[in-house]
Amino acid sequence: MIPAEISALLTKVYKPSRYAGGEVNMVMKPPAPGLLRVALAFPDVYEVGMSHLGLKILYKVINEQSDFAAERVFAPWPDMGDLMRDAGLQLYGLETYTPLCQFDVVGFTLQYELSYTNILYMLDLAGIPMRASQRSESDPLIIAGGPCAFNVEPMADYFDCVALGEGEEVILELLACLKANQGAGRAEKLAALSQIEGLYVPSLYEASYNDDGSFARITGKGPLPIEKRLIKELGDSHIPIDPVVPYIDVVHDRVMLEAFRGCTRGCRFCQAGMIYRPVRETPPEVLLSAAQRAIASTGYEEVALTSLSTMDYSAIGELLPVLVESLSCQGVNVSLPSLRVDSFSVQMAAEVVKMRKSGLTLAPEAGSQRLRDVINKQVTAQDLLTALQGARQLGFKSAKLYFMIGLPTETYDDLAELVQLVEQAARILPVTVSTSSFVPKSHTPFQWEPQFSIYELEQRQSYLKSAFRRNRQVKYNYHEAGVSFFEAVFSKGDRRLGAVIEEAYRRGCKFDGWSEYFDYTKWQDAFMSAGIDPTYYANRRIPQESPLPWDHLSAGLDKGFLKREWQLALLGRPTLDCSMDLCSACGVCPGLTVMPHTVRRRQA
Amino acid sequence: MRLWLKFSRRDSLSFISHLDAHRAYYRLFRRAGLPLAYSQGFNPHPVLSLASPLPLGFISRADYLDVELSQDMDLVEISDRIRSSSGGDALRLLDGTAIEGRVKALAGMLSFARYSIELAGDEVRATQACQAFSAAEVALFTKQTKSRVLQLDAKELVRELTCHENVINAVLSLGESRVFRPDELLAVMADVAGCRLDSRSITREELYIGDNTLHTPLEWAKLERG
Ligand code: SF4
Repeated sequence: MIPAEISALLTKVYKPSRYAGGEVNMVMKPPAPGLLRVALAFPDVYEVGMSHLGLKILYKVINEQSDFAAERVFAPWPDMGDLMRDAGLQLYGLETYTPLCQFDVVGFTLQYELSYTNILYMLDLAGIPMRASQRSESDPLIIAGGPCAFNVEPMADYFDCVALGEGEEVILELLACLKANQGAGRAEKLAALSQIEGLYVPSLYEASYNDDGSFARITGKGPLPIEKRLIKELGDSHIPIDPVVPYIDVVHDRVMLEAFRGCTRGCRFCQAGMIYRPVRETPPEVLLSAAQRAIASTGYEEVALTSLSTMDYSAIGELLPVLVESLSCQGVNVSLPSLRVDSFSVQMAAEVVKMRKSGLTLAPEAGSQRLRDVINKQVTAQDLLTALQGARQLGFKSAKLYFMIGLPTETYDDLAELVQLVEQAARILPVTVSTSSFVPKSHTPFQWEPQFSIYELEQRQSYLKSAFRRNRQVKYNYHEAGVSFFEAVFSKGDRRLGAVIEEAYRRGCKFDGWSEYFDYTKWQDAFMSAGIDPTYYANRRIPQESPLPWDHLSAGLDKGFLKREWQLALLGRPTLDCSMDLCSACGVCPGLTVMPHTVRRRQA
Repeated sequence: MRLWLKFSRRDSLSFISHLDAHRAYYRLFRRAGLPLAYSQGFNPHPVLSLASPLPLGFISRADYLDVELSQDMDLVEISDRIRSSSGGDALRLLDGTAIEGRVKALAGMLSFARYSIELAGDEVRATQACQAFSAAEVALFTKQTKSRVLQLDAKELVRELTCHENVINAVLSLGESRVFRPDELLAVMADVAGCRLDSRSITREELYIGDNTLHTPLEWAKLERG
């Protein structure tokens, strides 16, 4: 039953189901002595958080243990947040409506830099002190994990403990360690956690800076560096076959089957491709059987084969037709979230969208061959055009094309080629072109690179805008450059940014990833009042010999590999995919004693 | 085979839209392994419709589903499968019947709905408001529909109105362009009685077919069969 003080608010808010819980497959474990309770907190609205595969996996592995219980909590949309404050209602877990402050652990997903203020917002609504140093023995342990954990430094002051890499094993080790140390004090527990591989306890370390303000080093009482965790072989136990099924439409509302983890195509801007190495495929028979069980437990009408690049799955050609066939008699569709720019992918896509040939999405990423060589995106203009021609023949009505602008070394010649390529594409099918601005990310070959200034990015956007204006076959969208700027600031930030995030939150920043809430001026003011220049982080080239604020957070990558890749980028030379070709010695496999694992050898 | 099924719905399922409720039922049928029939045409969709939308926040003890399966099955088997796939007791199958022959869509046949409205205030106020409404000759109010503003007499839309302690029991019109919602009734009653009326919870208790004599859909189906 929903408690009366909550249901009284639900009739007053937009989409009350976000806060009601009680969905199909929800796991409800009432509090019991000895039960360790974790709130899995996603710092965005319900519909985004409920679409996140990592959350479903953690929910499953924790709840499978009789000693542990996991609940979910999402960032209340401001309408609900305000009402909760007025009513004095604290943020609660959706399973048992228990206030967050009564949990043993609250674990945040760090998926996006611009959700950092939402973490403070959620802690605030929960009545939990934001800074780790202010928390007392009775407060829950606040932990975090996800891609942004690899440079969690801007948020280091707010977390007691951070998990690097894939979380399903280390979360159980963390909980077991807490259980074994139940009587111990907070400091003692944290010291014990810091000894577990993959766990980072920021308070055990200190950052120092040079006189010129540049980052000098991290020193501390815990192990250095902290190595990421990963699952060496993917199998049935990693697939959440009975995920919670939301009642309202969420972003990805379907069964998600992870075809593989990791992607070693080696795009040089892509952090996910770098931090989740090597490639590990799930066997096709596991996927087929999981699909059936997941449909029986959820009733979903769609199954997605997910990964960073599903078309690269080595057995896709056999798996897909069988999967489609086995599900179609139940009225269930298959979807492929990521397509490669080639005709094979388009054919496969046509196979699965028989019934609703809507549109096709392809990401050539850069407009000129020169720039695609720089980023190691091994796709030619001809590949794209052939793929689109195939798509038209198969009945697709339109295509979406994704490009990045502001990539390292980009000039207006490259943009002119982009325009040319789009015009050629638009003669085949009507296209919607979306550009995002390049954000240099930690743990990539471009981590030393500056981002173009906001002004320069906007100039390039207007160049494209006017180039496409007269072409009625082309629609052009672009991401706001100010948003990309702050993404760059935080993805390459250091601990000094922690104060700015709190200041921004105090000034009212939250839901910064949502254009209706992103407030550039408030962020600028927050940086001003903290006396920090954000352009220092986003727009400066870092010398390669300088220590980096995230050097101690290891994704297993050899820094020499990243430097080599950077040099190859400037030469426009390719690096091949190690799941199809030779090892490019990134350092991950020997360092973490793992191997690329595919069903069969992948074909280039 | 065509079925009319009666469900109750509360808690989380009281806070979803008509569209979301349909999807929840589709998924329930798929979990239960009950094959829904699909409509013909370019964009086929399951032949399943909820007879009457439930306003957000209302509890329902009368959610009627008019649904078609692609194959004949035993009614007991159907209800067993639904019960074991409902996922908690916020959604419960109460009753049901197979529908044979040419019968119109249930949604178009409904005439009245019975509600119980639990008031947040005291009993005295509830009784007074009921008495004032019953004594009034007319109780005019305006209703904004999609296309126009209607001026209606609430007295003509209320078939039954009683009060027990702080619970009002009302049978209200559900007829086409004459839908009268219990929250609208409260507003009109408050107006007539000159007091504030806030509800603590509103439950839809039953839906009816017919104008002179009212029958629940399942009673109606039974009479129809003879
Ligand atoms: S070590 Fe070699 S095989 Fe392993 S992920 Fe890196 S490049 Fe690929």
